[in-house]
Amino acid sequence: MKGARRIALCAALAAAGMILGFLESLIPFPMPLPGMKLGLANVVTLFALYRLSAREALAIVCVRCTLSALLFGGIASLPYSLAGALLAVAAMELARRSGWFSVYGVSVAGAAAHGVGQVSVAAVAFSSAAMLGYLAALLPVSLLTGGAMGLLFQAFDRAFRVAMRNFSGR
Amino acid sequence: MRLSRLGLRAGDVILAGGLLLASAAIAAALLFFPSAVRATVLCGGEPALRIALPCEHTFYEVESGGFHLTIEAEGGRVRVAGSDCPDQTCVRTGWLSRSGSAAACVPAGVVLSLEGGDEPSVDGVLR
Repeated sequence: MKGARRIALCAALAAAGMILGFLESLIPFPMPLPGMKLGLANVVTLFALYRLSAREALAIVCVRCTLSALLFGGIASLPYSLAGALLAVAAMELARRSGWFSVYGVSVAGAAAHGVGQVSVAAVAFSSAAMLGYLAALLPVSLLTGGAMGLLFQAFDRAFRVAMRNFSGR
Repeated sequence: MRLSRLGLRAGDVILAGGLLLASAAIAAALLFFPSAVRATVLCGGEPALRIALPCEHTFYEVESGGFHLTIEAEGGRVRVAGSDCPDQTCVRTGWLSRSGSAAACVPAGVVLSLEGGDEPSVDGVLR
């Protein structure tokens, strides 16, 4: 798939990511600590990394984070959101390329990196290394959420690819 | 139960183990190196205010020795945000985040200090 169709798909994925992010904020999923989330939007990022390219995944993530912050979270949430998401994309792409990890590993790497990114921004913003202590709880949780998102990605991958084939008119 | 049957690879297991290890290490570090958990404001030697840390961004107004001070607490740090004392040393001290650190307003008789865990941390021990 080339050109305008590809760009349009990226835009649709960015929107999908935003919707997923919004949806998971609505579902009162019981998390051990505040600020933890499922990371449903990472399913979209996984799809972009595996089925499109890292550059496009990056673009999708940037658009999604910026628009989400403007529409939902408030501009103050943007550094946290971006730091987490960018680190996640980098970690996931490196993990994917290395060949040492399955989708689950890549997804967990992304979940963990996302948490590290956000906590790091908090530590800097509040000049408090104590914020990093949050990782003691975040990292094991990211193992679970990353694994779950890896499962979700696989479940939808087939459906996504069918839709892509239809979308490209073949 | 072979890992490859689950669709997992070596890197996945190592990553999982690494994350759990890192988590345990951080938890251990937290237990052994507690950062400031409490800020205390002394007015004329008497504790007037105790702030549990980390906390949300809050301002406290303190009157002492005929002066009015504003204490600001945010996350794991505190400072004297404002004071109507003449020399402003307390304000110029800026943010405090390390356990044991302190800012003092001599004219007002106010001392803002941070305490971590049960003991103040020491800068060094000379034998």
